[in-house]
Parts: sequence; C-alpha cells; structure tokens
Amino acid sequence: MKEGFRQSMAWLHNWSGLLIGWLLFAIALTGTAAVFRPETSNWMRPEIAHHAGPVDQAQALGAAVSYLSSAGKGAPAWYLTAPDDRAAFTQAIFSLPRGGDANGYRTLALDPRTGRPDGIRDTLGGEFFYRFHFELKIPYPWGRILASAAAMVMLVALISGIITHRRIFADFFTLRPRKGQRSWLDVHNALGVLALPFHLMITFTGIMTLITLTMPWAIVANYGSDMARFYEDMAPGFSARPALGKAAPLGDVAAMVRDARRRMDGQISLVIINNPGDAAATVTISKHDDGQIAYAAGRVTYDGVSGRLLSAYAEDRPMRKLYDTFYGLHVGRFGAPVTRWLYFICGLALTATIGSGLVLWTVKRSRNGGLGYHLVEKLNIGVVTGLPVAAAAFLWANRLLPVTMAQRPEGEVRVFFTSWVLMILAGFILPRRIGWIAGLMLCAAAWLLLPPLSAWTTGRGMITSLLAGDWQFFGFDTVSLAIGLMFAIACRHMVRPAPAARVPRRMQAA
Amino acid sequence: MTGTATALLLAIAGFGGLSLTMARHSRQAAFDGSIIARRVPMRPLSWLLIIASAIIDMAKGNWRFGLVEWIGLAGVAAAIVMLAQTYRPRLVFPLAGAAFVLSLLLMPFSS
Amino acid sequence: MAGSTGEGGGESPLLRMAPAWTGIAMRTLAATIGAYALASALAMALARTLPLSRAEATCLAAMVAVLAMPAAVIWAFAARTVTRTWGVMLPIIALGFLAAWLMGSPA
Repeated sequence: MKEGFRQSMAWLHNWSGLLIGWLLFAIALTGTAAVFRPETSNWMRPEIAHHAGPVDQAQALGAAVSYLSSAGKGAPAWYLTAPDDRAAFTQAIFSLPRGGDANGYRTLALDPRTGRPDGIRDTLGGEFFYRFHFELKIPYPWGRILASAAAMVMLVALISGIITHRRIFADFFTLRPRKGQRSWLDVHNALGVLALPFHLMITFTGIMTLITLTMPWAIVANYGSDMARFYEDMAPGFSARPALGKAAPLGDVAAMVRDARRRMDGQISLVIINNPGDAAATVTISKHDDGQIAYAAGRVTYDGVSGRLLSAYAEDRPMRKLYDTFYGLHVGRFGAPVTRWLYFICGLALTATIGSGLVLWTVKRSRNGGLGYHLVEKLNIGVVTGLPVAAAAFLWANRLLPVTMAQRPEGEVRVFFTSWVLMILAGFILPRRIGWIAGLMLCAAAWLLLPPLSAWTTGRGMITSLLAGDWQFFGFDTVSLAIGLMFAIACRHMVRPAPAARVPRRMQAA
Repeated sequence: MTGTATALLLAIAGFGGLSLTMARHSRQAAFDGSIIARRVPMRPLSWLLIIASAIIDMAKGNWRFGLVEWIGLAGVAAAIVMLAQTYRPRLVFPLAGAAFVLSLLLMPFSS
Repeated sequence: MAGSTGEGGGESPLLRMAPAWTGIAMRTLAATIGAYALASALAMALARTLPLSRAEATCLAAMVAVLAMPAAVIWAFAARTVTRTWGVMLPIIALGFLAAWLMGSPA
C-alpha cells in the first residue's frame, strides 16, 4: 500500500501545484521583493538625500507631527512609521473626509529632517510589492482570503512533494544538467530540498498572519460579536479612548519618542496618534521589530496632550508570544543583514521552485499535446517571464514618469499590470520557443538596464553611491544587475541547444 | 560577521564531506578508494562539522537569531557543495578541506 | 492515479457503480469544504474547552485548527477508500461542533 499512498501524493502534488502555481509564483516573487521593502522604498524616492549615520527618530517624528498638524487636521488618527536604520523617511497614513485613495486614506513619505513631503516623488515604493503579496490588488477581504487559500494549497503541495520524494538525501547533492526533463526535475528538487525548512516555515507562518480572517471561529466561539473585547484582550495596553470634542494642542511628541526609546531599550517603529488635536488624544509607540523575533513585542501609550505615561505593555503570555513569533518569522525584520539576505535568497529559491515546477509540468507531458497542455505552456511564459518584466517595468516607471504627474502612484501600478497583461498576451501569440527566448531576453534587458537608467535620471549611479558610502543604493543596483545577469544566462542556455551529455571518464583507483 | 563566516565554512566542509560518503558522488570526485576515504571516518566527522557550524552560529549574540540564520546558511552551504559536485566534482574534496582549514583559522575570532 | 478511488475491497457499492471521477470529486470535496469544516469545528471546540485564559485559548485553538487543515487535505487523498475519508472526517466535524455547542457561550 506504500505505493498507492506515494502515488496519490504524487497526483496531489501535481494537481495542487498546477491549480495555484501561477498565483503562488506571484505571491512568492512579490514576497521576496518585500524582504527589502524599506530599501526599495528608499530607492524609489531618490530625492531623499543619503545620510550617513543613524537617524534621529525623535526629531524626525517631531517634524512630521508639526507638518501633520495642518496637513492631517481633522483625521481621526495618524499612523506614523518612524525612519530607522533601513528606511530613510517617515511614513504617514491618515484618512480625511475628502480625497485620498479608494478607502479615503492618504499615504505620505515625509523627509526625516523637515517633516514635509515636498519635492519627494509620489510613489507607493516597496509598499506596492508588500501589499500585492497578501492582497493581490483584490478588494478586501477577497484578496487576502485568496492569498491565504493559495498558501494552504502550497503547504499541501510541499507535504505531498516531500512524501513523493523517496530518496531525498540520496538526491541531495545531485544535479544532472542538460538532460531535459531529468534536469528540470533535479532543479525543482534541489531548490525545493535545499531551502525546505524555509519553504515550510514561510508558508505555514504566512497562513498564520491572516488567521483572524480565515479562521475566525475560535474568536466567534469565545467572544461572539464582542470584537472590541477581543482586540483589548489580544493587545492590552493600547488605550484608544473616544474623542472628547474639546480642542487641545498635541504635546511634545519628540519627547515622548525619546522616553519610549529609553523604556524599550532601542529603536521604535510605529507611532499611532489617536484623535490628534483633541483633549483625549493618545500617542501609542511600538517597539521596533529588530531586537527579537516576535512581532510587535511591546508598546507604550502616552496622553497626547500632557505626555503622561498611560500604559506600558510587553507581551509575555505564551500562546500570544508564540503567535507573535510566527508572525515575526514571516516578516523577517529581526536579526543581522545576513539574515535578511538569506531570506531573500531562500525566497528566490522558493519562487524558482514554483517556476521550475510549472515548467516541469509541461516538459513531462509534451508528447500528449492537447488544449490544456498548450494553455499551461503559454501561461507559463506569460507568468514566469512576464512577472519579473512587470516588476522591472514598475521600477522603470518610477524613474520615467514625471514627478509632478497627478495620480502618480496609480500610474506606476498601471504600468506594472499593463506590462504583465502584454507579456501574457505575447506568451499566447508567439510560438513556444520564441516566446520563452523573447521573454527571458526582455527580463534580462529590463533589469540590466535599470541601474544605468536610474543613474541617468537621478544622478545617483552606482559609482556615486559607492563613493558616498551609500550601500543601500549600491546594493539595490547590484541586485538589479545580478537578476538581469541570471536571466541573460537562462536565455543563452535556451538559445544554444544542449550538447549531448558527456560520459565521465572512468576514474582510476589511486 | 566572522562568526557567520566560520559557520558557513564549517557547513561547507561538513556537507562536502557528507557528499563524499555517497557512493555515486565519491566516484565522480575521484575520492573513492583514496587513503582518506579508507582511514578517516568521513560520515561522523562531517556531521560533527555541521553541528559545530550550528553551535558557532548560535553562540554569537541571540541564539534564536543564530538558529534562524544557520538554517538558511546550511542551505547555502549545501547548494555550494551541490554545484561543485555537478560542475567540478574533483574540486569537492579540496573545497571541503580548504573550508575546514579556513574555519579553524577564523574560529578564535568568532566570539 | 492508482489506489485513489478505492481499489480492492472496502469501497461502498454505490461508489463502485458510479463513474471513475466520482471518487476524486468526493475526495476533493473532503479536501476543501470538509477540511475547512473540520478545522472550524476543531477551532470552536478547542477555544471553548482548553484550560487557558480566554485570549490564550482563542490563540492556540486557531493555530491548531489552521494546522489541521493541510492534515485533513492529505488524509482526504491518502485514505484507502472514499468511505474511509469521510468516515473519519464526519465524526470529527460533528463532535467538534457538538462539543462547542454543549460548552455554551462564554460568561
């Protein structure tokens, strides 16, 4: 019966993989891009000058609050993300009765020195990849539900893949290049097995991050419809009190930030100001994620007008901490830069595992032909080459769209989706081999030419960055070149037909 | 950084050694039948190096961070060995050996 | 896919008469709606019965339930017969919801 079990798992792996392969490819790719969300956001706002040394969080937030006292007047709350050792700007999100995006929210990037958005080009930055990763640009809550369902299927695909792969360790170091289907299988297995702990962890923790949406029944069982009580229980110490309707100036936020940094022994990240300008205003400051694995490990709340400490909370309940740890493992904001790069590399490996799986599906069945096969083949081209092209196009748009253009962030996003649709159409129209070669060539060109384009339009080229010690910009451009190079090699591999595999000479015994 | 480098080198040495205990890879790497293959207990030694790699990575600073980092690092080390076995199998043993020696040199500097 | 639609004895006579794809359809149903129902039942039952504070129990219950889903999916396709698939899942679903209902609403 072992055989029947393995066979059914192989069937399950095949079909679950095909069902959500393209969607998962997109989720994995944008998730990998989101590892460097602050760096991407910085790169997409080249007007913010590079500064060496740590940023003064208190000063930056004080300046931001001064600006928001007029620009964000009337908003029920201001959500501020402090600049830190990675992000160069203060991000401010708030909703006003008029204007803003579809939900009425405005997102601004504020200069850390002046607190003003003037002169900085309007863009979503790395936020675009981050949000696409779990919302898929589909209205709430359907995008998140779809992403969560895809993650669930991914976990099934992983488990069934592991069960199917009989000789995991015997094949651990094996890669047989230039042997057609065998090679694709080896690549798919190698990428899957070498980073297997990561794949399992990221999929499982990803499901965890959306758990309140997808598995709300535990909450319903214990809290019924009393959601306020639920939020209070989950995150005590956050005092959101109703507005008094009495105007009162906001206190010294910079001083509160300094106090919070002292109390929480390090950087802070989120600053939420509820009812700014009202006598019942509160300022809640969260601990930064880089000091521990768990996400949102602590927060302090001050009275918004007087600056008096209202509550200080550090989570210590075991199950809650376990959940926060899962969440923190997924967003990976902790640890040294090496860890972040490892997340990035493993994310690329996951994306490539999915991509190679999709290609393997067609390589295995090329003899049978048929409409379904052709559909998969064509869609593969449009997604596996199309998505990297679209991502590059998004960055190209950031450099080329006029800075003063209205609705600029939406414009960049539109370029992303238009490019993707065009690539999918091209994949359908062009003959198979030409489609792949053209797609890979376009990928290579788009990414290789990005750094020169950036240097030409912004003056912050790779040499300038290197001389100024701006490792972020230099690193971003380097990764761009590396990605382009990777696609160029893949393209070359496709263009030159594989030579027959050489049989290794018999080794003589020593 | 030195701690991470040492851990990576130890993992490369360990995985390299492990790959050489597998018949197929041992043959390709011209390791089969050599003096070292006959005298040195490669498998236990390789595992020891891998465990040492994990310990060193977790010993610096927060052990939880170290553990997460090491899991990723181990994958990278295994990938390097895999690529060597695929394209330059004869270099696998020298690679593992050099990694081992280098790691010993760096060890005093990885707190 | 050999072995999935219930070769050998044990498959219900109804299914043996039905076309081949019925087995897969039934298993897919078990893997989707069935698995979600199982997870939800488990979530509610655990949330109400775990000997932890309300917040902690809710947390753990949800996490365990989410883990139960892929397990249920694997079971749906790994079980020897379709009858066995549903035969194991239905009682768990029923018991879970029953347990939650018997515990009543929280104070």
